[in-house]
Amino acid sequence: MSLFEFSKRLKAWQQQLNSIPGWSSALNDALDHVGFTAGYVANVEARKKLWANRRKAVKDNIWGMIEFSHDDGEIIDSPLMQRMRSIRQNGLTYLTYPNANHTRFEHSLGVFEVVGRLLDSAILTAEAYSKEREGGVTVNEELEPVSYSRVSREYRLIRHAALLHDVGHAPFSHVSEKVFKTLSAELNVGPISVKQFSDLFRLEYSLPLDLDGGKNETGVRPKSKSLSELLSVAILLSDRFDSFYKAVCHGDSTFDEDADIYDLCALILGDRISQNDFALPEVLSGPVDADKIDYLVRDSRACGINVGIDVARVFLRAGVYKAAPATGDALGLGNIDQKKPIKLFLIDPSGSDAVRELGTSRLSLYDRVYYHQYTRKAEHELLKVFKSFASSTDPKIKRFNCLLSTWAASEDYLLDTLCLSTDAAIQNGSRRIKSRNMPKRVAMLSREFIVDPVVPCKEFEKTCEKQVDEIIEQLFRPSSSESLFSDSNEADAQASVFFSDASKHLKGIGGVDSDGFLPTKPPIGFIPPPKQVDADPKPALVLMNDTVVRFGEDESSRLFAGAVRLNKGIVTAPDGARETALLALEKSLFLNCLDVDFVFSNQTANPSDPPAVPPLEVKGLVLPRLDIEMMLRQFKLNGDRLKEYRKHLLSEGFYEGLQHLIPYDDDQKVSAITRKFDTFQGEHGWKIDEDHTRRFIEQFPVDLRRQIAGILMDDFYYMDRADIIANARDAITKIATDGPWFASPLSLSSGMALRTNIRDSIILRNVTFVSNPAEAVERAAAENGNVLLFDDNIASGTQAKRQFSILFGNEEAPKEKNYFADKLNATQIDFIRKNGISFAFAAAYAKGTEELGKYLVEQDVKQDLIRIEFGKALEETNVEAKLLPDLKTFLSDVGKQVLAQRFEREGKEDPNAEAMKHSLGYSNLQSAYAHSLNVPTTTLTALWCPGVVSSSVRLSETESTEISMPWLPLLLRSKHTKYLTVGL
Amino acid sequence: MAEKTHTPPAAKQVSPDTFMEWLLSALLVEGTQSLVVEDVSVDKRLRLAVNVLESAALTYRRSGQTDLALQILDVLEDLRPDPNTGSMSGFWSAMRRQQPLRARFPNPRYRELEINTVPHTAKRTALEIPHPWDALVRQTAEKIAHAS
Repeated sequence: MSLFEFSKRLKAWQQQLNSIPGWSSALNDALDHVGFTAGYVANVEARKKLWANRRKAVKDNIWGMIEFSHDDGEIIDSPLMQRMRSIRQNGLTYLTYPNANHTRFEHSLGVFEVVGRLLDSAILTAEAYSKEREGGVTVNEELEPVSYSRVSREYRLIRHAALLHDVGHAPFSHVSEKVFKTLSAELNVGPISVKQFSDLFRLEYSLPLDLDGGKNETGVRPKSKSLSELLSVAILLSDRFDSFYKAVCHGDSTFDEDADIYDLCALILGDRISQNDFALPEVLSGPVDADKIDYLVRDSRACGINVGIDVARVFLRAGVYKAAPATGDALGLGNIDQKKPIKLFLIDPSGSDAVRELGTSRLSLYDRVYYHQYTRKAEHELLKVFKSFASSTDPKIKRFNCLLSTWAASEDYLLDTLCLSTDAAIQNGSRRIKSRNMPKRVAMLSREFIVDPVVPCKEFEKTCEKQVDEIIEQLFRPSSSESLFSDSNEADAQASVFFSDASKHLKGIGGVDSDGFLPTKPPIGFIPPPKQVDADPKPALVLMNDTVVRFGEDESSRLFAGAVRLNKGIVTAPDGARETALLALEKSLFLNCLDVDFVFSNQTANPSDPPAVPPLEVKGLVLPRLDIEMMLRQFKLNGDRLKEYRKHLLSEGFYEGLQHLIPYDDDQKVSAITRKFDTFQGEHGWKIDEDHTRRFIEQFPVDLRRQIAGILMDDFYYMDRADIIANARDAITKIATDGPWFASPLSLSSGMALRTNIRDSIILRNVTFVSNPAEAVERAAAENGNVLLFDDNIASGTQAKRQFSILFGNEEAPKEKNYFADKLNATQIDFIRKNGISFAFAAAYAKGTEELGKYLVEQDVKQDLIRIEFGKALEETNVEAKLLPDLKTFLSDVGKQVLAQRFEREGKEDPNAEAMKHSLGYSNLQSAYAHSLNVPTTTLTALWCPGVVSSSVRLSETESTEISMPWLPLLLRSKHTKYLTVGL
Repeated sequence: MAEKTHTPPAAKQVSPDTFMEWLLSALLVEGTQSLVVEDVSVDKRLRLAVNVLESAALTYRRSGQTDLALQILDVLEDLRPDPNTGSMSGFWSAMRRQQPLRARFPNPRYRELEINTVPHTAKRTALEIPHPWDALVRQTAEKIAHAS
């Protein structure tokens, strides 16, 4: 018999393995170790004679009596199968569900039985179809049920594949598989590394032979394989198994000594053994297969979890159908012989409920059993122990570096050996497993446990949150290169360093002594979320209205699968040390994500949806902060202890440079400050809410927070809309007594905004509000009136002077700046020089008004024709006397840093020196004043200028590092959104 | 998708999720904003896209660049159609893992993938794909975007 593609590839792989020096002897050694010796194999035929073709049966707690032939019995009784009695089906699940002690042996017998029942169901379906057709009933001629006879080669091969499909599972299957895969370059399979073993297979088996230049789909695609499947197949491809199987099948007329072993292996791998038969492999490893049916029912029974699977209906409604090649083409099946019919494994439509039940049950078991947090903690512990194999110096342990040696050991023997290891890490970890003494949960790493960033610009809020979500998702996704769980990330190692640092300081106040209490280090375990839930649901082929369709699980199942996966990233620590661990984790998480920076914009994802505002990009820096309150509630940690620890650690310098992590808990003050600035409306929807106020204050060192809150609450002069109007009215009414007045804003943004507010509120018959200074002069000249320019405030006078310089034609208006570009003509300038000009400000510094006056005099406007009035004297808003030295130093430092960044971007020559001059407000005027539309530059710089601030952070008692964090101002001066960095 | 300012993942190790992230950006650059799930014509294009990767893996293997061939196989293991049912569920499953940030499958039927990446970010991401993945991603996206 000629071999089909997959079997051919397996033969080639077998030849490659056998050509590796030492491969066969290493494999034989492992087989000897489990009792599958050459002597045992040599005696098979003699033992068979004793059986005398008797049938046997065994009682299974799930499927009842399982009957088998003498050939099947030889396989079942072989050491290869019997070894599986010592391999638990669910690894360490028994630590969570004490009855989950069932083994791979029972499961293999179960799969053997279920395969038989599925094939028997196909036989009955085919018989019923024939009878109906013979009886004249109209049947579907295009999809004819067929079957594999009970004495056929296919029937035997698939049943034997069912028995042998798990023989390659090593002790604690999934954990050991993960270790050997992760450390595939360091650990071995006999004389070669696991990586070489696996790569050899993949290059030989998983690549298509030809693809017609990539134009047409002609490739034969295999399924992806696990390491245990590879080892199963490698064992079955050994000479010893070949001799064994020949002896087992001796006398069977369907036995093909050239093909059977390879076909048996292809079926175990879930692949076809003949070109058009897509049905046979599906019985063992498809969306609705014998393997799944058995493990779901068996695991749920063992764990005492009731899942509703109507298995009898699956058996009754499953069948093998013959169809035209066109059906396969329509389904997208590759490499079909178009001259012959194809075979498909289909579920009857009335069995579709059972398909859904299987899916739901599977997800339920993943959530409650396979990914149970205790089991995952134990598996993680075992993973750490296994990972120590590679570096262990203990000779008893070193041999487990070889997958074949590990495979040959029973679970109990392996665990006992590990417990006796001279390697302390291995011994302690395995003893903890043996005595079921696992660390407890401290935190769960998923988006819902991370505090939302504060984005004061409401126009950006959604797009920013979306991108922060994305970054955080990458951090928590195990496969991402950015992942906190990736090997390159040091979050867990650093958390442990912080833990040790914190523990030292907490000894004195009853904290845990990490050296005495914890048997091994590091004490903090990072357990990543699973990559995916069993590769997510796969649709089964269902016969619906005489047509073959794919019947998948519904979206709710998919969403559930996603939720199961995403909520499983956990961090653990020994009981009693959890509060310390949480604080260490918080610091580590914060620091390890500092370098994840990005930009976000107010652009939407849909290009056909134009942005509501001009595109603007803003920098972001991800600093994930754990929602500690939620963690405390969810994992039942001691909140009082945590507070006490935090306070103590603060005094010990643990939070040096990281004051952000200490919450500001004066809710009343936060609320009052927020109410005070509630009417502030900055650019791009900048609004202040309580989260924002709190985050702003939390940027200050803890001992300065009360002072800054006091200044904001009691000393900051804030003018809301009504105050501006009142102050502006006072100033305007002082000036506009007689004659017609033409009033214009002095500046383009805040002046224009003020005009909008006051033109309807100030009703003066003799005052006409116009839109710009040039128009005011023109109207006044034409109508023999007076010119009045008004603005929200005047601080240094620089901006006002520049506006006049532009009006007088001395310079051009800079692009994108806050200036009217129109120039006055000679007649208009002459009019001002002759008739004078008046100014009204809602608030003003005397110095600013003097500067403006001086400039106008220089421009030949007579001093006595210049009149300046204002409502509020800004000298009164100076808070210099209120700033205690430490707060002043801090504000100055922040102001200098953020302003220097701005100046640098503007191309100033010496940004640092220039910033120093204005670090406490322009000209260091130390004002604390703003109104609802803007903040003058004379106000303390740190209150209105965004940017990034560097500070020194303590890593340990002897080590510190410099980090940069976004500075989030409370208010935002206009035109400063582009300097914003969002992160906290 | 957020645009990171540090070095993109190096060519030496590309996970299926990273590949899908690149592919979504490349699709958007090609002008494709959505794909219908389990649609016959879309599935056909997806298979052709898989062929591009398989063909590349084969070429690299033949030229002795087995590391690259194995990397492509890593990606293919997630994206290949099921050999016995023809289902592209692996591809859609990988796409669903890109939710909610780069992709979404909106209500009420969840039967359409919408690419959720900001266009200018997609362009930049596509430009940053390291060699030789840049060409592979582009060719794969072309196969998916344009019906043959």
